[in-house]
Amino acid sequence: MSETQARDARQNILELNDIAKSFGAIRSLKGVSLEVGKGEVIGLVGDNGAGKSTLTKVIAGAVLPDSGSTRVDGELVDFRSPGDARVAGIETVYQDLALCNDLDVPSNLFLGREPTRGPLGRIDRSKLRRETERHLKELGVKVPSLDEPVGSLSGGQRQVVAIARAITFEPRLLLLDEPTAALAVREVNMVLKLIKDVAANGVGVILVTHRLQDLLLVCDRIVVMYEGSVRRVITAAEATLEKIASAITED
Amino acid sequence: MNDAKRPENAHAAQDPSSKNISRVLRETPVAIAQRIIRQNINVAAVIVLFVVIFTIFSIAAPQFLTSDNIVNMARQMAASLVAGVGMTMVLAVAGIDLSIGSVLTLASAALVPLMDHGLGGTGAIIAVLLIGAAIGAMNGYFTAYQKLPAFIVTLAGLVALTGLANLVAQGESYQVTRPEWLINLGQGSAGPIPYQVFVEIAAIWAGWYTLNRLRFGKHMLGIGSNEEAVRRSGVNTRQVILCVYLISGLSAAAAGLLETARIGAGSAELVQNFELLVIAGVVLGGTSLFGGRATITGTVFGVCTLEVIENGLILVHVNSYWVPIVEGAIVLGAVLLNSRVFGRLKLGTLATR
Repeated sequence: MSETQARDARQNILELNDIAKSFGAIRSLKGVSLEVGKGEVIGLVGDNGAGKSTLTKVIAGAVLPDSGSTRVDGELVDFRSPGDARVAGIETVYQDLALCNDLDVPSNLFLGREPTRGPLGRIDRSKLRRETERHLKELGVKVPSLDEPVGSLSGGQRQVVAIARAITFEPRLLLLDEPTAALAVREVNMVLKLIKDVAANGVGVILVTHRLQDLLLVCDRIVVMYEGSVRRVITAAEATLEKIASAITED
Repeated sequence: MNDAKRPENAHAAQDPSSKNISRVLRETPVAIAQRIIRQNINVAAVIVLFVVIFTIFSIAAPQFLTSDNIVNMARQMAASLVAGVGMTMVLAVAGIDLSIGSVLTLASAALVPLMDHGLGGTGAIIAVLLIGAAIGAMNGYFTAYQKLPAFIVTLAGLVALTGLANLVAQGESYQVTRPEWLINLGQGSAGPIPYQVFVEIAAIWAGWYTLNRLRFGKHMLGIGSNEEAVRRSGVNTRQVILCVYLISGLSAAAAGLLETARIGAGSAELVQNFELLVIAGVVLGGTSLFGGRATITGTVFGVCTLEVIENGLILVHVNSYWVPIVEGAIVLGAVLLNSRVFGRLKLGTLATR
């Protein structure tokens, strides 16, 4: 009870109310409600087909719900496209990362928003570099070199760059799709630390993952989905691996 | 992100691994030099190849290293270099432009008829350049906006425009005697330096600057690397691609004017396999056919290498039918070396970091 009150006392960044979505005869989401508070990390889990992928796409603006309402910072919003969600302050890092492997870190971080000079759009390279260094330092992110193409970095470093890139948009909510899949242990810790740091700065984070052990390390609440509904919400204090696993699988 | 709201990250100070940030961000001069060579190993390779071949012919053919022959080569390269700059940008966006050879011949064949139809010398030249740009824009439109494969779009252009060039020329070769400045550009020189060299330098510089310094060039490389990522960043990628093909068409028409000026004749049969030799030169220079990695410096040396091979083989009196055979073999060998040996070297040194 006290956990709930603590959460309600903070402002909710995202509020989903009774979201439903069907694809033909398949009811992917059967009225899902979810809140994410400022600086809160929510773990979103569920078996394949539980609806977490559809829910993520609704939040990211990539799928339009059939019914239900979405509020960002208390304001009612109606996302028609991923662009709308971004304008509202929701950044999504998909599993494919959307990085240009041949470009270096600064070019990737500020792709499409490079600081320029003059009528031809000459890139202000020293400013780009300064901004990159400042930004990475703020996030406590380490990369071997800013001048290497991103494709030469490790999977964890690339994930960190992708998250850092999302943060440059100054989002209110960060949606991460399987950020730790296929990473070495040390790299998983690097990504989880970054997630904690981001949340500590007041950004709400939704973490979609299959790695249940990650949830225990960073999440404030764990939302377990089953057949298109939220089956259970487990707070960090009461969460154990067994509890999460059984909530996902039990009939 | 508000600075005031973001005090120095507590984590960053405690975690020993992040203490290295400042160290890593400031490389030593030696490390910078090593990195530049490693990142440009393909360019370094083509420079070495160029020097080796240049040296071999300097020894084997007494006439090779004469000022007349060097000037001759500098003149002959102009068309390939100018078109090569455009092609480098096309390959940067993971495209291809097979139509440049027929744009070149169309430009050459159409020049005199356009002059005779009241456009005047300079007017006809401007018209030819606009035609080239328009053809390029069409290629870009079908590639970027209709999502047709560039290979097919520009192949259709190659076929149709060759026909159009023949239709315009009617099998004839027109002597070009005006405008005077064009003929002068093709055959005159400032002291020992042929005028083409200035055009070559201007084209190379413009290409290098666009690709390496401008936002437009950065977006080209990004598109070649991961178009979807660039599009999601809010860049109008289709517009960028259209502009790239437009530049390619324009540079091919300019190449046609340079070649026409050099020979002093407009014809639909000015060049053969021009587009393929330009692509070969660009790829030999280390630009990736799959986009994302492009180098103007490499293109310069790639095109120069092919020119030296052609010129040198003729001077050592090899049967001229051997020229394309040798060129093809060298391109294949160099690209194989680039992708197998240097490609692995590049990844290998980084995997250990």
